[in-house]
Amino acid sequence: MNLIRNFIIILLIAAVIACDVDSNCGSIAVNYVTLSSYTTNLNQEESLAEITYDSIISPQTDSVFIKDSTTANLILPLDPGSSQTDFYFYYNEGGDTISFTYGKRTRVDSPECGIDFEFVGLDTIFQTYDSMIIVNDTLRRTINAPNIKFYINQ
Amino acid sequence: MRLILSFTLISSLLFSGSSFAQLQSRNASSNNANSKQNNQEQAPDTTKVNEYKPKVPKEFFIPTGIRIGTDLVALGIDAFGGKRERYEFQADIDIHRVYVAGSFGTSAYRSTGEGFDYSHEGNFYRIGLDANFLKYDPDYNTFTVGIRYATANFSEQLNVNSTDGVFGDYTESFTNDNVRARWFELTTGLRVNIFNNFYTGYTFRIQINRKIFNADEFRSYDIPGFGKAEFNNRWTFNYYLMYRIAWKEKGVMKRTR
Repeated sequence: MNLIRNFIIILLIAAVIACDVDSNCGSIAVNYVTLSSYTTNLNQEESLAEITYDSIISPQTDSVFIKDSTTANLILPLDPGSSQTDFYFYYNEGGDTISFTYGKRTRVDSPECGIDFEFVGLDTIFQTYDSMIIVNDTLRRTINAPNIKFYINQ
Repeated sequence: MRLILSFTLISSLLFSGSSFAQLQSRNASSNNANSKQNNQEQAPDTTKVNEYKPKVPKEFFIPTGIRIGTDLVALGIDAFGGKRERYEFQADIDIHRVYVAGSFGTSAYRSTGEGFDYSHEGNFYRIGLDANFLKYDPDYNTFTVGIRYATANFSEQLNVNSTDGVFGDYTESFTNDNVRARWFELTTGLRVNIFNNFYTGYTFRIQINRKIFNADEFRSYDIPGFGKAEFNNRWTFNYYLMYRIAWKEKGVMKRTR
């Protein structure tokens, strides 16, 4: 009888564990890459550096992401229908280019919530900045640091 | 739906609990009666407990028949669900109070939603053991607890047709071929003889430790025999109609008085 009682207790515990919570359309994945511009002093200490952009565009869309704006932090969307997104950065005195490549983990959330993409393995195949670091190669809402740090000479 | 299933689980546990309590009290009363008789006939020995365990004849361990049946819940989903076409067959063979149980099923599922169209096709099987706790039942009704190993083999396809706010419309197709999933189950079930050799009853399954292999292109959404792949653990419920094909008279333990 102890065996039965123990099995029923195990069954009840397993039943509680098995009651996972249904999806509520929540996702920590985001479809944008965050970039921050930095400068370093003689002691190699880095600090945020604001840049004045004439515009930031991508040849894959007609949208202009930034126009006549000064900022150190950028948020740029990636093309979910492609594995590469290019961005052109224009300033008074010229311009820069970054070509991002990435993979996607696709999953069905639910019929109501639709599809959820997680962008993973973010990398650059071409860029014209002095120096650049990929801090986080997975795009998630919960990550506080920028995905990309790039360094400029001021 | 969960409320109904929870109620069913609780009521079955209560039923099984009361059955065991009844069996226990019967055993206890027969033991008491035996011990009283012994006390009167033999010299008093208060340190020894006189327990009588009937010896199980060896022929009881020879299988006497096979119960085969189908899952009525799956047939109901086929008839009224629309999205899923599932068939499941179950069989068990008795070895005294232990049943070797197995089931095989097929599943075809299609779901369309916000910007996607998903489908899978495959099969699954489960194999395991059940222990029967109704050892004195002359109709061979069973109340069992058991374990299963389950595995599913399937292919799934996902077509995405969506619109991005910045980059516009895009279409993609993903296919996972030869996906395999496996999990374990803790089960409890009841089978009741309704007439002749027909039995009916439920199996409540707690499915745990799900693993998926070869789902390379996208994350699996629905697994045949398991359900939504986003869960590692879940529970499910089957209601079977079964027929017992007997080739030998099954021996049943006689209750000691």
